Amino acid sequence: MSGPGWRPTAALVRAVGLGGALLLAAVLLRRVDLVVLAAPLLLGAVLGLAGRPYAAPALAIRIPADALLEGGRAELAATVTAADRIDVAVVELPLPAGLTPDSGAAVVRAVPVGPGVPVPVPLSVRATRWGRHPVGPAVLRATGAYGLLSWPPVRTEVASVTTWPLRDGFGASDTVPRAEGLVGGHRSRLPGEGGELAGVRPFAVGDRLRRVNWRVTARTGALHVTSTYSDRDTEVLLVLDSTQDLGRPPENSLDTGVRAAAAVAEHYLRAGDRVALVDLARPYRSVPARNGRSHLVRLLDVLVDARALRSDTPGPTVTDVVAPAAADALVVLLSPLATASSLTAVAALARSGRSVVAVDTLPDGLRPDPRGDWTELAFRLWRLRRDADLGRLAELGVPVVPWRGAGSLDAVLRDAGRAARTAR
Amino acid sequence: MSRVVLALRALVGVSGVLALLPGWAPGVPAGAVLLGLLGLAGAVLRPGSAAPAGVLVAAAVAWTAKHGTDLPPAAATLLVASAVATHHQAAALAAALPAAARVDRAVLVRFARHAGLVLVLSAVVAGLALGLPDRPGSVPLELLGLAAAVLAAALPVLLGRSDRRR
Repeated sequence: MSGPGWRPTAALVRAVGLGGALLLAAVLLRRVDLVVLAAPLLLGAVLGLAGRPYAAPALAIRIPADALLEGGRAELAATVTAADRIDVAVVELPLPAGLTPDSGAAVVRAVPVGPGVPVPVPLSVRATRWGRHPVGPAVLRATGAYGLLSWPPVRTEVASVTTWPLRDGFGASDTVPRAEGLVGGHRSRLPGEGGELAGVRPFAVGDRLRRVNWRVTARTGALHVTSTYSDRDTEVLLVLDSTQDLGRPPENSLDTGVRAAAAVAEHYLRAGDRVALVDLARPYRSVPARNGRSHLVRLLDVLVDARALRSDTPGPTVTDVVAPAAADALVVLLSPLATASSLTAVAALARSGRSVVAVDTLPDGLRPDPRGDWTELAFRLWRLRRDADLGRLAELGVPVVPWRGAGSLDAVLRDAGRAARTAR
Repeated sequence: MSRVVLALRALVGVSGVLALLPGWAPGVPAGAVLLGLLGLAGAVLRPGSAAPAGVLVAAAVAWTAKHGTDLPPAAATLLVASAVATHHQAAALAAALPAAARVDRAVLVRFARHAGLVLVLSAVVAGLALGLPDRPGSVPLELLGLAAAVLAAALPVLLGRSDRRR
Protein backbone atom coordinates (compact mmCIF):
# COMPACT_ATOMS: atom_id res chain seq x y z
CA MET A 1 0.00 0.00 0.00
CA SER A 2 1.53 3.26 -1.09
CA GLY A 3 1.47 6.40 1.05
CA PRO A 4 0.36 9.81 -0.03
CA GLY A 5 2.05 11.20 -3.07
CA TRP A 6 1.64 13.59 -5.96
CA ARG A 7 -1.33 12.43 -7.98
CA PRO A 8 -2.34 13.42 -11.49
CA THR A 9 -5.26 15.83 -11.63
CA ALA A 10 -8.08 15.94 -14.14
CA ALA A 11 -6.05 18.58 -15.99
CA LEU A 12 -3.17 16.15 -16.60
CA VAL A 13 -5.50 13.41 -17.76
CA ARG A 14 -7.20 15.94 -20.02
CA ALA A 15 -3.97 17.25 -21.50
CA VAL A 16 -2.44 13.83 -22.19
CA GLY A 17 -5.64 12.12 -23.29
CA LEU A 18 -6.94 14.83 -25.55
CA GLY A 19 -3.52 15.93 -26.78
CA GLY A 20 -2.57 12.38 -27.71
CA ALA A 21 -5.91 11.75 -29.38
CA LEU A 22 -5.61 14.94 -31.41
CA LEU A 23 -2.11 13.99 -32.56
CA LEU A 24 -3.26 10.54 -33.60
CA ALA A 25 -6.23 12.04 -35.41
CA ALA A 26 -3.90 14.50 -37.10
CA VAL A 27 -1.77 11.66 -38.47
CA LEU A 28 -4.68 9.43 -39.44
CA LEU A 29 -6.77 12.20 -41.01
CA ARG A 30 -3.74 14.03 -42.38
CA ARG A 31 -4.97 17.20 -40.69
CA VAL A 32 -2.04 19.36 -39.66
CA ASP A 33 -4.38 21.84 -37.93
CA LEU A 34 -5.11 19.21 -35.28
CA VAL A 35 -1.42 19.28 -34.39
CA VAL A 36 -1.84 22.98 -33.70
CA LEU A 37 -4.77 22.22 -31.37
CA ALA A 38 -2.81 19.49 -29.57
CA ALA A 39 0.40 21.48 -29.18
CA PRO A 40 -0.57 23.72 -26.22
CA LEU A 41 -2.02 20.79 -24.31
CA LEU A 42 1.03 18.57 -24.64
CA LEU A 43 3.60 21.37 -24.43
CA GLY A 44 1.94 22.69 -21.30
CA ALA A 45 2.02 19.24 -19.75
CA VAL A 46 5.68 18.64 -20.60
CA LEU A 47 6.78 22.08 -19.41
CA GLY A 48 4.75 21.79 -16.22
CA LEU A 49 5.94 18.30 -15.37
CA ALA A 50 9.58 19.15 -16.10
CA GLY A 51 9.68 21.13 -12.86
CA ARG A 52 7.29 18.94 -10.93
CA PRO A 53 7.56 18.49 -7.15
CA TYR A 54 8.43 15.16 -5.58
CA ALA A 55 8.74 15.85 -1.85
CA ALA A 56 5.84 16.01 0.56
CA PRO A 57 4.65 19.43 1.69
CA ALA A 58 4.25 20.15 5.40
CA LEU A 59 1.99 22.45 7.36
CA ALA A 60 2.21 23.76 10.91
CA ILE A 61 0.05 26.27 12.77
CA ARG A 62 1.15 28.76 15.38
CA ILE A 63 -1.27 30.28 17.84
CA PRO A 64 -0.66 32.93 20.50
CA ALA A 65 0.72 31.49 23.72
CA ASP A 66 -1.08 34.02 25.89
CA ALA A 67 -4.80 34.05 26.42
CA LEU A 68 -6.81 36.73 24.64
CA LEU A 69 -9.30 39.13 26.12
CA GLU A 70 -12.76 39.47 24.65
CA GLY A 71 -12.60 41.91 21.77
CA GLY A 72 -8.84 41.43 21.58
CA ARG A 73 -6.96 40.65 18.42
CA ALA A 74 -4.38 38.00 17.71
CA GLU A 75 -2.34 36.77 14.82
CA LEU A 76 -2.60 33.10 13.93
CA ALA A 77 -0.23 31.72 11.35
CA ALA A 78 -0.02 28.59 9.28
CA THR A 79 3.40 27.87 7.82
CA VAL A 80 3.85 25.82 4.66
CA THR A 81 7.17 24.21 3.90
CA ALA A 82 8.19 22.05 0.97
CA ALA A 83 11.47 20.83 -0.45
CA ASP A 84 10.16 21.36 -3.99
CA ARG A 85 8.30 24.21 -5.56
CA ILE A 86 4.54 24.24 -5.07
CA ASP A 87 2.59 26.40 -7.48
CA VAL A 88 -0.58 26.71 -5.42
CA ALA A 89 -0.71 26.00 -1.71
CA VAL A 90 -4.25 26.56 -0.48
CA VAL A 91 -4.29 26.93 3.28
CA GLU A 92 -7.58 26.84 5.11
CA LEU A 93 -7.76 27.66 8.80
CA PRO A 94 -11.27 27.01 10.11
CA LEU A 95 -12.27 29.26 13.00
CA PRO A 96 -14.72 28.45 15.78
CA ALA A 97 -17.69 30.66 16.63
CA GLY A 98 -15.80 32.64 19.26
CA LEU A 99 -13.12 33.85 16.84
CA THR A 100 -13.84 35.86 13.73
CA PRO A 101 -11.40 36.92 11.03
CA ASP A 102 -10.41 40.53 11.30
CA SER A 103 -11.81 42.86 8.70
CA GLY A 104 -10.17 42.02 5.40
CA ALA A 105 -8.66 38.76 6.61
CA ALA A 106 -9.43 35.55 4.72
CA VAL A 107 -9.54 32.10 6.25
CA VAL A 108 -8.67 30.51 2.90
CA ARG A 109 -5.50 31.73 1.21
CA ALA A 110 -3.70 30.54 -1.90
CA VAL A 111 0.04 31.19 -2.01
CA PRO A 112 3.02 29.88 -3.95
CA VAL A 113 5.78 28.10 -2.06
CA GLY A 114 9.41 28.12 -3.08
CA PRO A 115 11.68 25.15 -2.51
CA GLY A 116 12.94 25.01 1.08
CA VAL A 117 11.49 28.39 2.00
CA PRO A 118 8.86 28.35 4.76
CA VAL A 119 5.91 30.50 3.76
CA PRO A 120 3.84 31.90 6.63
CA VAL A 121 0.17 32.46 5.96
CA PRO A 122 -1.00 34.86 8.68
CA LEU A 123 -4.59 35.22 9.77
CA SER A 124 -5.60 38.11 11.98
CA VAL A 125 -8.53 37.20 14.23
CA ARG A 126 -10.66 38.92 16.83
CA ALA A 127 -11.97 37.15 19.92
CA THR A 128 -15.71 37.71 20.17
CA ARG A 129 -16.57 35.36 23.00
CA TRP A 130 -14.81 33.88 25.99
CA GLY A 131 -13.99 30.21 26.12
CA ARG A 132 -11.50 27.67 24.90
CA HIS A 133 -11.78 27.78 21.15
CA PRO A 134 -10.52 24.89 19.06
CA VAL A 135 -8.68 26.25 16.03
CA GLY A 136 -8.21 23.97 13.10
CA PRO A 137 -7.28 21.52 11.94
CA ALA A 138 -5.63 23.69 9.34
CA VAL A 139 -5.79 22.06 5.92
CA LEU A 140 -3.24 22.37 3.11
CA ARG A 141 -4.19 21.48 -0.45
CA ALA A 142 -1.07 21.59 -2.59
CA THR A 143 -1.04 21.70 -6.36
CA GLY A 144 2.14 21.41 -8.39
CA ALA A 145 3.22 21.32 -12.04
CA TYR A 146 0.82 24.13 -12.87
CA GLY A 147 -2.28 22.32 -11.82
CA LEU A 148 -1.33 18.92 -13.21
CA LEU A 149 -0.43 17.24 -9.92
CA SER A 150 -1.97 17.51 -6.48
CA TRP A 151 -1.12 16.24 -3.01
CA PRO A 152 -3.83 14.82 -0.75
CA PRO A 153 -4.98 17.29 1.93
CA VAL A 154 -2.48 17.74 4.77
CA ARG A 155 -4.11 18.38 8.14
CA THR A 156 -2.58 19.70 11.36
CA GLU A 157 -3.60 18.98 14.92
CA VAL A 158 -6.36 21.05 16.50
CA ALA A 159 -4.96 23.89 18.59
CA SER A 160 -6.74 25.75 21.33
CA VAL A 161 -7.00 29.49 21.80
CA THR A 162 -8.19 30.66 25.19
CA THR A 163 -10.19 33.83 25.51
CA TRP A 164 -10.70 35.18 28.99
CA PRO A 165 -14.07 36.71 29.82
CA LEU A 166 -12.60 40.13 30.45
CA ARG A 167 -13.40 43.22 28.50
CA ASP A 168 -14.13 46.31 30.55
CA GLY A 169 -13.00 46.12 34.12
CA PHE A 170 -15.42 46.24 37.02
CA GLY A 171 -14.85 49.14 39.34
CA ALA A 172 -16.41 49.60 42.75
CA SER A 173 -15.61 52.81 44.53
CA ASP A 174 -17.13 51.78 47.83
CA THR A 175 -15.54 49.36 50.25
CA VAL A 176 -16.59 45.84 50.89
CA PRO A 177 -19.26 45.51 53.60
CA ARG A 178 -16.99 43.84 56.13
CA ALA A 179 -13.22 43.97 55.91
CA GLU A 180 -11.92 41.10 57.95
CA GLY A 181 -8.19 40.61 57.45
CA LEU A 182 -5.41 42.42 59.22
CA VAL A 183 -3.92 43.91 56.11
CA GLY A 184 -5.27 44.74 52.71
CA GLY A 185 -6.25 47.41 50.30
CA HIS A 186 -9.67 48.36 51.66
CA ARG A 187 -10.36 51.22 54.00
CA SER A 188 -11.86 49.68 57.10
CA ARG A 189 -14.48 51.41 59.22
CA LEU A 190 -12.19 50.92 62.19
CA PRO A 191 -9.32 53.28 63.02
CA GLY A 192 -5.84 51.89 62.73
CA GLU A 193 -2.70 51.92 60.66
CA GLY A 194 -3.55 52.83 57.11
CA GLY A 195 -3.39 55.45 54.42
CA GLU A 196 -6.95 56.83 54.52
CA LEU A 197 -7.38 59.95 56.66
CA ALA A 198 -10.02 59.49 59.40
CA GLY A 199 -9.51 62.79 61.29
CA VAL A 200 -7.44 64.64 63.85
CA ARG A 201 -7.88 63.85 67.55
CA PRO A 202 -6.11 64.58 70.82
CA PHE A 203 -3.06 62.49 71.63
CA ALA A 204 -3.72 59.34 73.65
CA VAL A 205 -1.36 56.94 75.32
CA GLY A 206 -0.02 54.49 72.80
CA ASP A 207 -0.10 56.84 69.81
CA ARG A 208 3.10 56.93 67.81
CA LEU A 209 5.07 60.12 67.72
CA ARG A 210 5.20 60.16 63.94
CA ARG A 211 1.41 60.49 63.99
CA VAL A 212 1.55 63.85 65.80
CA ASN A 213 -0.03 66.59 63.72
CA TRP A 214 2.29 69.48 64.55
CA ARG A 215 0.24 72.11 62.74
CA VAL A 216 -2.91 71.46 64.79
CA THR A 217 -0.82 70.97 67.94
CA ALA A 218 0.79 74.41 67.44
CA ARG A 219 -2.54 76.06 66.81
CA THR A 220 -4.41 74.51 69.74
CA GLY A 221 -1.54 74.19 72.19
CA ALA A 222 -2.50 70.56 72.92
CA LEU A 223 -0.90 67.51 71.40
CA HIS A 224 -2.97 66.13 68.49
CA VAL A 225 -2.45 63.17 66.21
CA THR A 226 -3.69 62.32 62.76
CA SER A 227 -5.84 59.23 62.83
CA THR A 228 -6.39 56.93 59.88
CA TYR A 229 -8.63 54.04 59.00
CA SER A 230 -6.95 50.70 58.98
CA ASP A 231 -6.40 49.04 55.63
CA ARG A 232 -7.86 45.57 55.53
CA ASP A 233 -8.66 42.89 53.05
CA THR A 234 -11.67 40.66 52.74
CA GLU A 235 -12.77 37.45 51.20
CA VAL A 236 -15.09 37.59 48.24
CA LEU A 237 -16.92 34.44 47.27
CA LEU A 238 -18.23 34.38 43.74
CA VAL A 239 -21.05 31.91 43.22
CA LEU A 240 -21.80 31.34 39.56
CA ASP A 241 -25.14 29.76 38.82
CA SER A 242 -24.51 27.93 35.56
CA THR A 243 -27.28 25.41 36.07
CA GLN A 244 -29.34 27.45 33.66
CA ASP A 245 -28.57 29.57 30.64
CA LEU A 246 -31.30 31.82 29.30
CA GLY A 247 -31.22 33.94 26.18
CA ARG A 248 -28.98 33.76 23.16
CA PRO A 249 -25.28 34.66 22.96
CA PRO A 250 -23.77 37.12 23.41
CA GLU A 251 -26.51 38.44 25.72
CA ASN A 252 -27.34 35.15 27.41
CA SER A 253 -27.37 34.80 31.15
CA LEU A 254 -24.34 32.49 31.36
CA ASP A 255 -22.16 34.82 29.32
CA THR A 256 -23.22 37.79 31.43
CA GLY A 257 -22.58 35.84 34.62
CA VAL A 258 -19.14 34.66 33.54
CA ARG A 259 -18.12 38.14 32.39
CA ALA A 260 -19.39 39.69 35.60
CA ALA A 261 -17.59 37.09 37.72
CA ALA A 262 -14.32 37.71 35.89
CA ALA A 263 -14.65 41.48 36.23
CA VAL A 264 -15.51 41.34 39.93
CA ALA A 265 -12.67 38.89 40.58
CA GLU A 266 -10.18 41.07 38.77
CA HIS A 267 -11.28 44.14 40.68
CA TYR A 268 -11.02 42.61 44.14
CA LEU A 269 -7.80 40.76 43.41
CA ARG A 270 -6.26 43.98 42.20
CA ALA A 271 -7.33 45.53 45.50
CA GLY A 272 -5.47 42.79 47.36
CA ASP A 273 -8.48 40.78 48.46
CA ARG A 274 -8.90 37.05 48.45
CA VAL A 275 -11.40 35.72 45.97
CA ALA A 276 -12.99 32.29 45.84
CA LEU A 277 -15.19 30.85 43.13
CA VAL A 278 -17.92 28.25 43.14
CA ASP A 279 -19.65 27.07 40.00
CA LEU A 280 -22.95 25.63 41.14
CA ALA A 281 -23.14 23.30 38.16
CA ARG A 282 -19.67 21.94 38.88
CA PRO A 283 -18.98 22.38 42.57
CA TYR A 284 -16.06 19.96 42.32
CA ARG A 285 -14.13 22.67 40.46
CA SER A 286 -14.44 25.23 43.23
CA VAL A 287 -11.49 27.54 43.65
CA PRO A 288 -10.53 28.35 47.23
CA ALA A 289 -9.87 31.92 48.29
CA ARG A 290 -6.43 33.23 47.42
CA ASN A 291 -5.08 36.53 46.23
CA GLY A 292 -2.63 37.68 43.63
CA ARG A 293 -2.31 37.87 39.90
CA SER A 294 -1.71 34.16 39.44
CA HIS A 295 -4.93 33.46 41.30
CA LEU A 296 -6.82 35.55 38.77
CA VAL A 297 -5.45 33.29 36.03
CA ARG A 298 -6.63 30.27 38.00
CA LEU A 299 -10.12 31.74 38.38
CA LEU A 300 -10.31 32.64 34.71
CA ASP A 301 -9.19 29.15 33.75
CA VAL A 302 -12.18 27.76 35.59
CA LEU A 303 -14.56 30.39 34.25
CA VAL A 304 -13.69 29.74 30.60
CA ASP A 305 -14.87 26.17 31.04
CA ALA A 306 -18.28 27.23 32.35
CA ARG A 307 -21.10 25.45 30.56
CA ALA A 308 -24.78 25.30 31.26
CA LEU A 309 -25.16 21.93 32.96
CA ARG A 310 -28.44 20.80 34.32
CA SER A 311 -28.27 17.69 36.43
CA ASP A 312 -31.28 15.72 37.58
CA THR A 313 -29.35 14.18 40.43
CA PRO A 314 -29.34 16.43 43.47
CA GLY A 315 -25.87 17.76 44.20
CA PRO A 316 -24.59 19.57 47.26
CA THR A 317 -26.75 22.47 48.41
CA VAL A 318 -25.53 26.01 48.03
CA THR A 319 -25.12 26.20 51.81
CA ASP A 320 -22.76 23.21 51.69
CA VAL A 321 -20.84 24.73 48.81
CA VAL A 322 -20.18 28.04 50.49
CA ALA A 323 -19.58 26.56 53.93
CA PRO A 324 -15.76 26.68 53.65
CA ALA A 325 -15.89 30.43 53.00
CA ALA A 326 -15.10 32.81 55.82
CA ALA A 327 -18.01 33.91 58.00
CA ASP A 328 -17.47 37.54 57.00
CA ALA A 329 -17.04 36.83 53.31
CA LEU A 330 -18.89 38.90 50.79
CA VAL A 331 -20.90 36.48 48.67
CA VAL A 332 -21.65 37.62 45.14
CA LEU A 333 -24.16 35.32 43.49
CA LEU A 334 -24.41 35.60 39.73
CA SER A 335 -27.61 34.04 38.54
CA PRO A 336 -30.58 34.66 36.24
CA LEU A 337 -32.73 33.92 39.31
CA ALA A 338 -35.23 32.21 37.10
CA THR A 339 -36.10 29.15 39.12
CA ALA A 340 -37.37 28.52 42.60
CA SER A 341 -34.20 26.59 43.43
CA SER A 342 -31.95 29.55 42.64
CA LEU A 343 -34.14 31.88 44.70
CA THR A 344 -34.08 29.39 47.55
CA ALA A 345 -30.30 29.28 47.28
CA VAL A 346 -30.09 33.05 47.68
CA ALA A 347 -32.33 32.95 50.70
CA ALA A 348 -30.19 30.20 52.21
CA LEU A 349 -27.07 32.26 51.64
CA ALA A 350 -28.66 35.25 53.30
CA ARG A 351 -29.57 33.16 56.32
CA SER A 352 -25.95 32.03 56.66
CA GLY A 353 -25.15 35.48 58.02
CA ARG A 354 -22.85 36.56 55.24
CA SER A 355 -23.27 39.69 53.17
CA VAL A 356 -24.93 38.57 49.99
CA VAL A 357 -25.28 40.47 46.75
CA ALA A 358 -27.27 38.84 43.98
CA VAL A 359 -26.30 39.90 40.48
CA ASP A 360 -29.24 39.38 38.15
CA THR A 361 -27.93 38.07 34.84
CA LEU A 362 -31.29 37.60 33.15
CA PRO A 363 -31.11 39.27 29.72
CA ASP A 364 -33.25 42.38 29.41
CA GLY A 365 -34.70 41.43 26.06
CA LEU A 366 -35.43 37.82 26.93
CA ARG A 367 -38.36 36.50 24.92
CA PRO A 368 -39.71 32.95 25.09
CA ASP A 369 -39.83 30.73 22.03
CA PRO A 370 -43.47 30.69 20.93
CA ARG A 371 -45.01 27.34 21.79
CA GLY A 372 -48.67 28.21 21.66
CA ASP A 373 -51.25 30.89 22.15
CA TRP A 374 -50.56 31.10 25.85
CA THR A 375 -46.80 31.52 25.66
CA GLU A 376 -46.84 35.29 25.90
CA LEU A 377 -49.28 35.36 28.78
CA ALA A 378 -47.42 32.64 30.65
CA PHE A 379 -44.18 34.53 30.21
CA ARG A 380 -45.70 37.73 31.57
CA LEU A 381 -47.06 35.86 34.59
CA TRP A 382 -43.66 34.33 35.18
CA ARG A 383 -42.02 37.76 35.05
CA LEU A 384 -44.54 39.14 37.56
CA ARG A 385 -43.95 36.25 39.92
CA ARG A 386 -40.21 36.62 39.58
CA ASP A 387 -40.43 40.33 40.36
CA ALA A 388 -42.41 39.50 43.48
CA ASP A 389 -39.79 36.92 44.52
CA LEU A 390 -36.99 39.43 44.03
CA GLY A 391 -38.91 41.85 46.20
CA ARG A 392 -39.10 39.22 48.92
CA LEU A 393 -35.34 38.72 48.64
CA ALA A 394 -34.88 42.44 49.18
CA GLU A 395 -36.97 42.12 52.32
CA LEU A 396 -34.52 39.43 53.48
CA GLY A 397 -31.73 41.95 53.04
CA VAL A 398 -30.38 40.60 49.78
CA PRO A 399 -29.93 43.34 47.22
CA VAL A 400 -30.54 42.19 43.66
CA VAL A 401 -28.82 44.24 41.02
CA PRO A 402 -28.68 43.72 37.26
CA TRP A 403 -25.20 43.60 35.77
CA ARG A 404 -24.44 46.80 33.90
CA GLY A 405 -20.68 46.58 33.69
CA ALA A 406 -18.26 48.70 35.65
CA GLY A 407 -19.83 50.35 38.68
CA SER A 408 -22.79 47.97 38.80
CA LEU A 409 -22.34 47.07 42.42
CA ASP A 410 -21.38 50.44 43.90
CA ALA A 411 -24.73 51.35 45.37
CA VAL A 412 -25.38 47.82 46.50
CA LEU A 413 -22.04 47.48 48.28
CA ARG A 414 -22.62 50.78 50.00
CA ASP A 415 -26.03 49.63 51.21
CA ALA A 416 -24.68 46.23 52.22
CA GLY A 417 -21.89 47.84 54.20
CA ARG A 418 -24.37 50.07 55.97
CA ALA A 419 -26.55 47.08 56.77
CA ALA A 420 -23.58 45.12 58.09
CA ARG A 421 -22.61 47.93 60.46
CA THR A 422 -26.17 48.27 61.66
CA ALA A 423 -26.38 44.57 62.39
CA ARG A 424 -23.25 44.76 64.51
CA MET B 1 -16.74 33.64 -4.01
CA SER B 2 -13.60 35.74 -4.26
CA ARG B 3 -13.09 38.08 -7.17
CA VAL B 4 -10.09 36.22 -8.54
CA VAL B 5 -11.92 32.91 -8.51
CA LEU B 6 -14.93 34.56 -10.12
CA ALA B 7 -12.74 36.05 -12.84
CA LEU B 8 -11.08 32.68 -13.44
CA ARG B 9 -14.44 30.93 -13.77
CA ALA B 10 -15.51 33.65 -16.20
CA LEU B 11 -12.35 33.05 -18.20
CA VAL B 12 -13.12 29.33 -18.28
CA GLY B 13 -16.58 30.14 -19.59
CA VAL B 14 -15.52 32.68 -22.22
CA SER B 15 -12.66 30.58 -23.57
CA GLY B 16 -14.96 27.56 -23.66
CA VAL B 17 -17.51 29.50 -25.72
CA LEU B 18 -14.77 30.58 -28.13
CA ALA B 19 -13.53 27.00 -28.45
CA LEU B 20 -17.07 25.81 -29.19
CA LEU B 21 -17.80 28.52 -31.77
CA PRO B 22 -17.05 26.25 -34.78
CA GLY B 23 -19.87 24.02 -33.56
CA TRP B 24 -22.46 26.50 -34.81
CA ALA B 25 -21.62 25.76 -38.45
CA PRO B 26 -23.84 23.43 -40.54
CA GLY B 27 -22.76 19.82 -40.71
CA VAL B 28 -21.55 19.66 -37.15
CA PRO B 29 -23.20 16.89 -35.09
CA ALA B 30 -25.73 18.41 -32.67
CA GLY B 31 -24.65 15.91 -30.02
CA ALA B 32 -21.18 17.41 -29.93
CA VAL B 33 -22.58 20.89 -29.46
CA LEU B 34 -24.92 19.70 -26.70
CA LEU B 35 -22.08 17.87 -24.98
CA GLY B 36 -19.97 21.01 -25.25
CA LEU B 37 -22.63 23.25 -23.75
CA LEU B 38 -23.34 20.88 -20.89
CA GLY B 39 -19.61 20.53 -20.31
CA LEU B 40 -19.21 24.27 -20.34
CA ALA B 41 -21.75 24.72 -17.55
CA GLY B 42 -20.01 21.97 -15.59
CA ALA B 43 -16.57 23.45 -16.24
CA VAL B 44 -17.61 26.83 -14.85
CA LEU B 45 -19.25 25.33 -11.79
CA ARG B 46 -16.78 22.50 -11.14
CA PRO B 47 -13.54 23.08 -13.01
CA GLY B 48 -11.88 20.17 -11.23
CA SER B 49 -14.28 17.66 -12.77
CA ALA B 50 -14.21 16.01 -16.20
CA ALA B 51 -16.41 18.79 -17.59
CA PRO B 52 -13.57 20.87 -19.12
CA ALA B 53 -12.43 17.72 -20.95
CA GLY B 54 -15.96 17.42 -22.31
CA VAL B 55 -15.77 20.98 -23.62
CA LEU B 56 -12.45 20.33 -25.32
CA VAL B 57 -13.59 17.02 -26.85
CA ALA B 58 -16.72 18.71 -28.16
CA ALA B 59 -14.65 21.59 -29.54
CA ALA B 60 -12.25 19.18 -31.28
CA VAL B 61 -15.09 17.11 -32.76
CA ALA B 62 -16.90 20.25 -33.93
CA TRP B 63 -13.71 21.63 -35.46
CA THR B 64 -12.88 18.39 -37.27
CA ALA B 65 -16.44 17.90 -38.48
CA LYS B 66 -16.77 21.47 -39.71
CA HIS B 67 -13.75 21.36 -41.97
CA GLY B 68 -13.84 17.73 -43.09
CA THR B 69 -10.74 16.99 -45.09
CA ASP B 70 -10.06 20.61 -46.01
CA LEU B 71 -7.29 22.56 -44.38
CA PRO B 72 -8.96 25.32 -42.31
CA PRO B 73 -7.75 28.94 -42.33
CA ALA B 74 -4.62 29.47 -40.26
CA ALA B 75 -6.08 32.41 -38.30
CA ALA B 76 -9.15 30.44 -37.29
CA THR B 77 -6.97 27.50 -36.30
CA LEU B 78 -4.78 29.68 -34.11
CA LEU B 79 -7.84 31.30 -32.52
CA VAL B 80 -9.43 27.98 -31.61
CA ALA B 81 -6.07 26.59 -30.42
CA SER B 82 -5.63 29.64 -28.18
CA ALA B 83 -9.16 29.22 -26.82
CA VAL B 84 -8.52 25.53 -26.14
CA ALA B 85 -5.23 26.30 -24.39
CA THR B 86 -6.74 29.10 -22.31
CA HIS B 87 -9.73 26.99 -21.30
CA HIS B 88 -7.43 24.17 -20.25
CA GLN B 89 -5.02 26.36 -18.26
CA ALA B 90 -7.76 28.42 -16.60
CA ALA B 91 -9.66 25.29 -15.61
CA ALA B 92 -6.48 23.76 -14.16
CA LEU B 93 -5.89 26.81 -11.97
CA ALA B 94 -9.55 27.26 -11.04
CA ALA B 95 -9.69 23.61 -9.97
CA ALA B 96 -6.90 24.26 -7.48
CA LEU B 97 -8.64 27.25 -5.88
CA PRO B 98 -11.58 26.99 -3.49
CA ALA B 99 -14.38 29.45 -4.16
CA ALA B 100 -13.64 31.60 -1.11
CA ALA B 101 -9.86 31.63 -1.48
CA ARG B 102 -7.94 34.85 -1.43
CA VAL B 103 -5.34 34.32 -4.10
CA ASP B 104 -1.86 35.69 -3.78
CA ARG B 105 -0.81 37.77 -6.76
CA ALA B 106 2.31 35.64 -7.22
CA VAL B 107 0.16 32.60 -7.98
CA LEU B 108 -1.54 34.41 -10.84
CA VAL B 109 1.75 35.78 -12.16
CA ARG B 110 3.32 32.32 -12.11
CA PHE B 111 0.42 30.73 -13.99
CA ALA B 112 0.20 33.61 -16.46
CA ARG B 113 3.92 33.30 -17.20
CA HIS B 114 3.57 29.56 -17.77
CA ALA B 115 0.54 30.05 -20.01
CA GLY B 116 2.40 32.71 -21.98
CA LEU B 117 5.39 30.43 -22.50
CA VAL B 118 3.13 27.59 -23.62
CA LEU B 119 1.33 29.85 -26.09
CA VAL B 120 4.59 31.16 -27.52
CA LEU B 121 6.03 27.66 -28.00
CA SER B 122 2.71 26.48 -29.41
CA ALA B 123 2.80 29.36 -31.87
CA VAL B 124 6.25 28.20 -32.98
CA VAL B 125 4.96 24.64 -33.39
CA ALA B 126 1.92 25.98 -35.27
CA GLY B 127 4.15 28.01 -37.56
CA LEU B 128 6.23 24.96 -38.36
CA ALA B 129 3.21 22.70 -38.83
CA LEU B 130 1.17 25.08 -40.95
CA GLY B 131 4.23 26.02 -42.99
CA LEU B 132 4.98 22.47 -44.07
CA PRO B 133 4.37 21.82 -47.76
CA ASP B 134 1.39 19.55 -48.44
CA ARG B 135 2.92 16.37 -49.77
CA PRO B 136 1.20 13.08 -50.62
CA GLY B 137 1.39 10.66 -47.70
CA SER B 138 3.40 7.51 -47.59
CA VAL B 139 3.23 4.51 -45.28
CA PRO B 140 6.64 5.07 -43.65
CA LEU B 141 5.84 8.76 -43.09
CA GLU B 142 2.50 7.96 -41.53
CA LEU B 143 4.08 5.32 -39.29
CA LEU B 144 6.68 7.85 -38.27
CA GLY B 145 3.93 10.34 -37.47
CA LEU B 146 2.06 7.78 -35.37
CA ALA B 147 5.23 6.98 -33.46
CA ALA B 148 5.84 10.67 -32.86
CA ALA B 149 2.26 11.11 -31.63
CA VAL B 150 2.57 8.21 -29.22
CA LEU B 151 5.91 9.52 -27.99
CA ALA B 152 4.55 13.02 -27.50
CA ALA B 153 1.65 11.69 -25.43
CA ALA B 154 3.87 9.28 -23.50
CA LEU B 155 6.37 11.92 -22.45
CA PRO B 156 4.05 13.68 -19.96
CA VAL B 157 2.96 10.30 -18.64
CA LEU B 158 6.56 9.36 -17.94
CA LEU B 159 7.24 12.73 -16.32
CA GLY B 160 4.11 12.45 -14.18
CA ARG B 161 4.93 9.07 -12.69
CA SER B 162 4.77 9.44 -8.92
CA ASP B 163 7.36 6.80 -7.99
CA ARG B 164 10.22 8.69 -9.59
CA ARG B 165 12.60 10.35 -7.15
CA ARG B 166 15.42 12.75 -7.70
